Amino acid sequence: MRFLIPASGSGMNKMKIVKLPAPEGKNGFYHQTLWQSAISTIKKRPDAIISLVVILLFVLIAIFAKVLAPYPFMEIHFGYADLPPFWVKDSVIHATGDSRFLLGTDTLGRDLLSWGIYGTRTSIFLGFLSAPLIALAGTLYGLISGYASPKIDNILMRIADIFYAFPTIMIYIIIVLALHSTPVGKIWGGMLMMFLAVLSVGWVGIARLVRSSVLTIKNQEFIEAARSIGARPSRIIVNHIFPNILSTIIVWFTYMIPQIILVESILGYLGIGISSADQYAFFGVSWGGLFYIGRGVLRLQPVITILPAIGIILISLAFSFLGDALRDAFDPHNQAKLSALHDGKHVKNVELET
Amino acid sequence: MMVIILAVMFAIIHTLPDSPWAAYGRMDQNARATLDRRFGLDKPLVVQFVNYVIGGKSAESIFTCGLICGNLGQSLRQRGSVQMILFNTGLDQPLKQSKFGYSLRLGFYAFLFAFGLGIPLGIASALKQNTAIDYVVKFISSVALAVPSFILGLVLIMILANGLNLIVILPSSWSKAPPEVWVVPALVLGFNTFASVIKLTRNSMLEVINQDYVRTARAKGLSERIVVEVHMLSNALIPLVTYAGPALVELITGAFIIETMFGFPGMGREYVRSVVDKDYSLVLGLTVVYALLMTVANIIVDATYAFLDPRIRVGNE
Repeated sequence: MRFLIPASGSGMNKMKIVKLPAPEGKNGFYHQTLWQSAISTIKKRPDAIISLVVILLFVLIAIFAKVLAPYPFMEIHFGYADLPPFWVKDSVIHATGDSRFLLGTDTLGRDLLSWGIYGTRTSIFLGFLSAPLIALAGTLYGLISGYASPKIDNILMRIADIFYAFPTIMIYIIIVLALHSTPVGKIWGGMLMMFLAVLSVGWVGIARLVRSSVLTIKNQEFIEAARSIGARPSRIIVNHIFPNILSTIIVWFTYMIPQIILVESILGYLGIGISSADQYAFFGVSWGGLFYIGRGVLRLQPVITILPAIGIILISLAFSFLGDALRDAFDPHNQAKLSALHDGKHVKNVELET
Repeated sequence: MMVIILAVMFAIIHTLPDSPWAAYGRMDQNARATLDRRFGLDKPLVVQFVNYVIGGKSAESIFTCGLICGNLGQSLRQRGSVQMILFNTGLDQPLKQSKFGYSLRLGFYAFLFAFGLGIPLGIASALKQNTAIDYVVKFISSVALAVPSFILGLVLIMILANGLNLIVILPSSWSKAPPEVWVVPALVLGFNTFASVIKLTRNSMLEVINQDYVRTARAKGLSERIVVEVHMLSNALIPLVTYAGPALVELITGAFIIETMFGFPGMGREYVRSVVDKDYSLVLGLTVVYALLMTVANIIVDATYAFLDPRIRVGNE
């Protein structure tokens, strides 16, 4: 079997003939759907695999926080205040670490490792639970806007534009301030309030993405074909358009989840994040809350700030690399994808566009 | 559009719980009523909004012109008008020392760092594609894009100021502080932009490198330097110019958290503070300034784009 693969640039002179191995599928054709090939591309990317492992670890910590944490996070240990991590022999206030409190304690003698683990639970839950809901709202809006008549589309998009006119962080701050002292702000220690804040801005981004994808897809032949055999708009949207924008939404997730966690941390740092005075609250402390507590004792107890900082850096990096890999995996013109398709052996001498 | 934005902001800020006077503690009815009357807060919201935009009679029945004359109103929590707080108008201090001036300078330094270092790195990475340099630069830019500047700022404060005592990061007075205190905030602020600039430069250079006119230039026997400087750069930098305008405005206006973190006397910290304080007129004034800056940036970008890329001009004719 022979393939003509256009080399870089537009010149025909760089076309090369490559011999490819005979495909192994049935009838001599590749039987790979977009999803199968995307998964096989991801499997060949070590950075994506490592990222997935890191994300999975965080999710496991979040789910099994209660099992992993050595103490309940609010438990106060008298006489063990302001301890440094166990390997430190002489801290700023000349205290020596205690192996019972692996990462030390705060001013009230609360175990910092437990704080970190419970904080991870809140932040990860917030990110992973609110992103799908935001995606749902934004996708619906974008689908309607993209598929509707240009007039309705115009109105819907102008409404979305208003949200872009303000600095996003100000919208978060205003919403959280507005809800902070109301009953809504108390639900799940402020989780609901934080979710509403990220929802208020988050849906606009995904709605725009979905809308522009729909606009490019809806004029293609296969949609016209579906319409000509009498498919209803709902069927066209669900069965024909939605599968084609799913990859866009998945890549968006890898951007949004760390973003939500970061927003919560920033608001927490400003003192208006998730916090609960109830020591049995499921979402009692978050990474943002840790930043707020750590802010005042940066010199005395830097661990309080370092823990959530490491968490956010790892989560952001993991999702960023995973997002890059996914974007490549879903891109049908990608080099890595092509070489994965051809097993990478026979196309090495061909210059492909990067 | 501007009026809609303002109206939305006006409505939102007035629905926030607590009045601007909440921070003064318990207050008797008379004092509250006097303050409300003094700032016109006793009138219906629609009247307040009209007063703000067009102007209206104050409690002493003197007509003062509103936003359309450039008057941003009295600050509710600070002495003086909003334009005085932001731009030092009517004071004998220079604009440089105003809130706007500080944000402008910080944003500009961050911009210099991001583009001054990002463009050469991006070019180097593209010219030496798939070499060690390329991989290192690519890795740096991926990491720099992923790490939030908020976290970077915290980590730097912790390491440089707390751990090593290397530099003063949080000076007590910014106007008298030595110039090196600007380094860390500017670096933190420009960090993510820096990463984007590297990626953008690299991508647009790679696009240009394989163009036919570059091959023609090489074939003519031009020196490599001229090929790179004249043929590649002048074309590869066009996307960067369009990116530069919004990026600069973003850097000047987008430093809310970083300014708050470093105690920097700029507009971003003022914005956060005014919302928390419910200083209605200051919030609205800042919203106006931000929206104006964004509009100006977009107009400048459109103009430069047409100027730089003749294909667009031809296309329009």
